[in-house]
Amino acid sequence: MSRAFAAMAARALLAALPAAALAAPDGAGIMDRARSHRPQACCIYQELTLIQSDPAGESGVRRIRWFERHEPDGSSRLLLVFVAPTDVRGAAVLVTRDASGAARGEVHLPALGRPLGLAARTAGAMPLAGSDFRLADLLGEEPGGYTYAREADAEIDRSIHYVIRATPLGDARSRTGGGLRRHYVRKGDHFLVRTDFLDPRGLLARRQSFRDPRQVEPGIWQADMVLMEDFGERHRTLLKVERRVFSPDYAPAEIFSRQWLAGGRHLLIGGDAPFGP
Amino acid sequence: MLRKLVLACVERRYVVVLCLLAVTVLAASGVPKVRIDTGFDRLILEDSADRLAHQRVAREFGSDNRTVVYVRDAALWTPAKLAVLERLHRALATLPMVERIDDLYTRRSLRSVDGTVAAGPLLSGVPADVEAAESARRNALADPLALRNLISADGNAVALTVSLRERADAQADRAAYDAIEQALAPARGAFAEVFQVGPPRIGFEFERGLVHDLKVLMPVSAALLFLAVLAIARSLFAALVPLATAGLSLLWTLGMLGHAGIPLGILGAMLPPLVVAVGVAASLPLMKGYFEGLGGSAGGDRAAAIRFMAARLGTPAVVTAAAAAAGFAANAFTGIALVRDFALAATFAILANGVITLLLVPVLLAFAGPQRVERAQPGGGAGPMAGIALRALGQGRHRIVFYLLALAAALVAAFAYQVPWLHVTNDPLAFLRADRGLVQDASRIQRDMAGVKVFHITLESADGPAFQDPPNLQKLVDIQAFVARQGIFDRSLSLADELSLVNRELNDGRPEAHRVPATRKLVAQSLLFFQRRDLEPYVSRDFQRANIVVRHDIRDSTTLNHHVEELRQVVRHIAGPGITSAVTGENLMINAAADRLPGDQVRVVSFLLAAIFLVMSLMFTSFKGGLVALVPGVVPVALMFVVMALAGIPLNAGTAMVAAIAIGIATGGAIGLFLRYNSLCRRTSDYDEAVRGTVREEAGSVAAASLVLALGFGVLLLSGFTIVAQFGALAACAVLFSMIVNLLLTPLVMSRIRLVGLYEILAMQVPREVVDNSPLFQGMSSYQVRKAILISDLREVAAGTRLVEQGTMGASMYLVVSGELEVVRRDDGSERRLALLRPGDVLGEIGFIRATLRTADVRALGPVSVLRFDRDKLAKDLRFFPGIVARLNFNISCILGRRLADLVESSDVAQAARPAD
Repeated sequence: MSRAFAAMAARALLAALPAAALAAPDGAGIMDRARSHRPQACCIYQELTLIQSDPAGESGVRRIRWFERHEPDGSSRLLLVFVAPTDVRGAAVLVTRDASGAARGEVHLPALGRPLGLAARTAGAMPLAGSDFRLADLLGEEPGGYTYAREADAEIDRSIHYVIRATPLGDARSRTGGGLRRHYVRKGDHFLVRTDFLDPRGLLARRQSFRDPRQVEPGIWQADMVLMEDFGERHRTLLKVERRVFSPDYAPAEIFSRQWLAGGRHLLIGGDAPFGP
Repeated sequence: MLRKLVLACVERRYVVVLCLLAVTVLAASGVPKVRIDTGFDRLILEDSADRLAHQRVAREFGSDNRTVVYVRDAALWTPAKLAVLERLHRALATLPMVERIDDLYTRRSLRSVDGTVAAGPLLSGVPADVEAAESARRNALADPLALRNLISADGNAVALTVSLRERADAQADRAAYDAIEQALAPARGAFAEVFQVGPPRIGFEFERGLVHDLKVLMPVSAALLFLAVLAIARSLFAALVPLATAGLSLLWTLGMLGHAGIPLGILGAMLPPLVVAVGVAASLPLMKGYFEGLGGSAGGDRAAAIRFMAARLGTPAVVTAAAAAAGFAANAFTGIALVRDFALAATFAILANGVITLLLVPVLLAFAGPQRVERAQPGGGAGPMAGIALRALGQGRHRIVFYLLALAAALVAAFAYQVPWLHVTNDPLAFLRADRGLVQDASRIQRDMAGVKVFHITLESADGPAFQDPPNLQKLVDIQAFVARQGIFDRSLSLADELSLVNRELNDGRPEAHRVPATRKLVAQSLLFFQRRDLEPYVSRDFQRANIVVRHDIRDSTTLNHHVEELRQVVRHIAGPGITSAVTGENLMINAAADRLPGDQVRVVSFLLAAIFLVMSLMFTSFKGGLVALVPGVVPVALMFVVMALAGIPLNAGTAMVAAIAIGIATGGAIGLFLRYNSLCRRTSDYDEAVRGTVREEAGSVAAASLVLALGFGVLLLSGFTIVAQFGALAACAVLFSMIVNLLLTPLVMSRIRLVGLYEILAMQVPREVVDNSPLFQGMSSYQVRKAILISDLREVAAGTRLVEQGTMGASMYLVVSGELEVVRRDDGSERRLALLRPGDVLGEIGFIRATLRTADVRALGPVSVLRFDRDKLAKDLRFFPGIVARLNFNISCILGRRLADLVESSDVAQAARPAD
């Protein structure tokens, strides 16, 4: 009696749910949800430590300041300034992406004394300061540059993850220097925990893992550590967030300019008063 | 002793067969354990001080165990072909033994394009269309570090340089070769040419060549020597016996190698022909003795023939085999494992063959030996060689001695003069024939790009990241400029090249900016454009050590070592204080081993000659004998080196062994001649006749054994390895030279000496009363007495035989060594015994002074041994044994004086007894 009642109740409950809620989410939907669970702040300031290592041990440490600014029109800018070691202090990479998603990059080398434009076709594929990260890895995926297909879920660290296969469209591959990739998005909070970069034969070439997730807003998570592993070269690069501030004061619009960089003002950035004297 | 051993073997033939069978079974169990090792490690000196430095450099800057995969096609730069190329790159990159790949897919370049810089690999994925492919081709050709490094000047050939992880074991190269071939297989149909060149392929080719040589050389040498013996001995049995002994020897040797864990290297191909040749040479004297015995016995009595053979089998056979074995064994003292292992294997094979021959041949003869004498006997009779030698000896002997010795001295001088110009090499590619595919492929890569071989020039600073400083980077540039000026290495690559190129591109591609960045900061900031893998071959992570990679295709160790030494000095000078330098590489270590070859050669030859001198001096109780014994060894070696210099044959791991082997073989032959000469000298006072007799008796054997050995070594010319073929040719030449020397020069120098074997002295049984009682041996030690007996003419006299006949002229004096004789005077048909002579007594002393009419018979009462002395012979021997002969002469003069005194006394007594007139 009770069993028949329970079955009837379940059928009634299912019938009452909207169809969309029952349909399994597709790859693009999951990726949209994952993006929506990232910080939506317009401006992000981070102090980072970039640690490179290989089988022989640690091979280099660099300190970087990260300035990121998103405009309401959909354009965005990212400025990375090297502050240590001393010889590279002041070297900077400026990437601007317009509303259409087209990106432009510049490199400033204080020792050279003038900015260098990065060819658009290859800017994303450029490694960040000799690390295993490419600029495109830091910029995040252009949503229109890929098609997403959901694959069978996978269990990682006893949690079920969506597995999304991302296939580059058009010239996204040459711009980002990557090909096929597979994203692992944690069910529940839609936190992107891992991206596997595959070679043309579908074999794992690099792996980007997002670790130490920190809840920066309710339902919004951001990793404090990002590990990039290059399996071909047997290298690893760890990007550790030492400090993070969501504030337009820390990433004002004027710093993303050639003049600011050419004037060497970014070299004065430091401590709690990044734009001090 | 040998005689007893042989006869005991025949008597207990089944026991002997069982023993041989047991050892053979034991050896056979080791054969499956034999492993082939053609790895490069075995060409490097085991005590090389560079090993550690090389390992450190390889760990830090990457392995120099590199294979270049070469791809050429006229339509290479099309999407379809490049798709295949990319698949090939991926396939190679995923091989487990691959540490790193350097090719157009991994070569990242920075290019200045319309005011912007483009960074990325020269090839990435598959170009979308022909235009994109052509653009990639232009980019690749425009990269000076890719040009003639990864891509040929015409753009139609590219190289994928595969660095392999450190070898775990000898099989690793083979596994790598197979895996790379498997990766290349799908690409073979797509491109006009695809091949790999590197240590794995060299190892594979060596292994294949070794197997081929073993398959070819073994049957060919066996067949040739079978036919040769058949032709010499006209006996199927005589031709088959050496094959049986050689087969067993080879089995034993392989078994020993398997059990002892000694691997078979490329020189192992020489073992079968060597064993067969040595087997034939060793069995020839036995067969000769048997056939001679058979000829002398009635009704083809096998047992009698074997007894005769055993009696003839003496020290020469053992000494010859031991000398040949010593020649091979001397090479075991080299520091190169390849040579050492072969020397050990060959020495064992020769000794094993000696034992097997000694044990098995008599048994086989006892079971199934021929019972009929063929027309020709192995090495029997004077033969044509003896005829030639005797004619040469007959013509102006003394002049010829002088000329030949002068010629020998000239040859030695010529050799000494040639030594500095002697071509020395230990390079693996030089071991292969020039027409081999691998050699041509390596040359092809070198022509189109740069040599496959690599070495490193490393600089290390004592403090801090020195190689971010432009002055230190300039040092790299200066060193590379010197390398280019040397004009012998194909190209060099360093951090300075990479930074200069980036500097140029950061300055809009201006050629004048193609130099090391001007400031340390600019260097550090330029380095931001590199990924770590780009710099790994050139600089340590802390920038304290820098590495210049040099590519070349030099196959001549002398040239390479000379230029590397010059480079080392210049690098040290440029590096200056505070920076240490090293020039290392597996290839350099292999070639450096060649530098040891001449030194090793001198050491081995000196050691061997010194050993021969000492052994021969002791053996013949004469330093002069020791010196003379060196002549037959030295002259063929001098001749061989002259041939090497004239023919341009390099001194390598193979040819370096020939000198010691030639000395061993030549000396072995010479000792045989000395012993025979010595034996004949005891039967005659005419030493020239003894020399002629020696040549007459031994020339056939010497010639037969030499020709057989030369034929066996000559078979090695069929080898696919230059090193083996050159060894074979030289060894054959050396054996023939030693034959000529032993038939012409050795007899001539031999006639100038008179030797007594120590073993004869020690073995001699002299009755006590001879030593104690004989006036001839007064004041002489037992050793001197024996030696005096041995240098004398010892005669055996049968019972009843007349040693001296009354009424005949005689000029000899005799000493009774054993037995008894009676002195009988015959007068008018009646006989009167005058005296009884016992051991120690002397007779005929008047004849010694002046030929005189014998006044009585001297007749043996039983078997008697007497020593005969005549004045001419002792006068000759005085030169050779002055101490002993002087003592003998003194004693003889005492005997004569005593006799004179007796005569005078008896004459005085007679006169006193006569009545006064």
